[in-house]
Amino acid sequence: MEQMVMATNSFSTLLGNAAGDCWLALNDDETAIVGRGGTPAEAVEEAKRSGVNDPVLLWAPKKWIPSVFR
Amino acid sequence: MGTEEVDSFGFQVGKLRKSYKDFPVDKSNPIFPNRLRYEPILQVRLLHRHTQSPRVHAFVDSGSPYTLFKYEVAALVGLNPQKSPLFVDDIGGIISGPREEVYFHQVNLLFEAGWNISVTAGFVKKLGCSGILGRNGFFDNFRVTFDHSTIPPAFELERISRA
Repeated sequence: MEQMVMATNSFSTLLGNAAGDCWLALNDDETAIVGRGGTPAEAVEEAKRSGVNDPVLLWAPKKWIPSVFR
Repeated sequence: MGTEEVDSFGFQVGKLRKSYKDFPVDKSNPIFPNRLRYEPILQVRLLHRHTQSPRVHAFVDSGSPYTLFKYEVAALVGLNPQKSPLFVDDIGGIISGPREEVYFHQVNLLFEAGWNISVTAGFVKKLGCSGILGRNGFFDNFRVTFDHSTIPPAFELERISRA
């Protein structure tokens, strides 16, 4: 049995317009930023205040460059 | 959820196919003219002593020898990386700046397809992303196929059964 999960096409636009050098909390389908913070916990708290209790977290670097490790 | 099948050794079997996610590139170049790049990403939850984290983005990266998370992710499961680590190592090359200490702990990773695996994961301050699923901890649990014949590319995971 296989499960196909499609990526959204607007993710790069969403992140490109967001603040960097911080943690971002996204809604369930990763179409909106619902929280941010200097720590994951801060981003989660802001997401909860926005009504999203189980956000998806990612670190947004200061600059988006073609490498994940800088 | 992925398949609920269990093999003769008690491992879940089945596959997950997923498209890469598009990430921004600040400055276009001939390889990334549209200022976006595609990356293989999974959402994972960390589990440590009955505490489960929110979902965290992690890059599927066969170039990394370790499964790594940014240092502050540990706090989401009540873990202090510097307290009683299994071992401490330092790494270079995949982090910014000089070599950096990595604190390794045993945690469980819960994947979006429903798989739950126990891994030795490192926590490091200067990691430039939320997490990396590397050769130890991830690639030794899954058969991973990358398919760049489509736009966006896709990848497929198949749980490896181990006797």
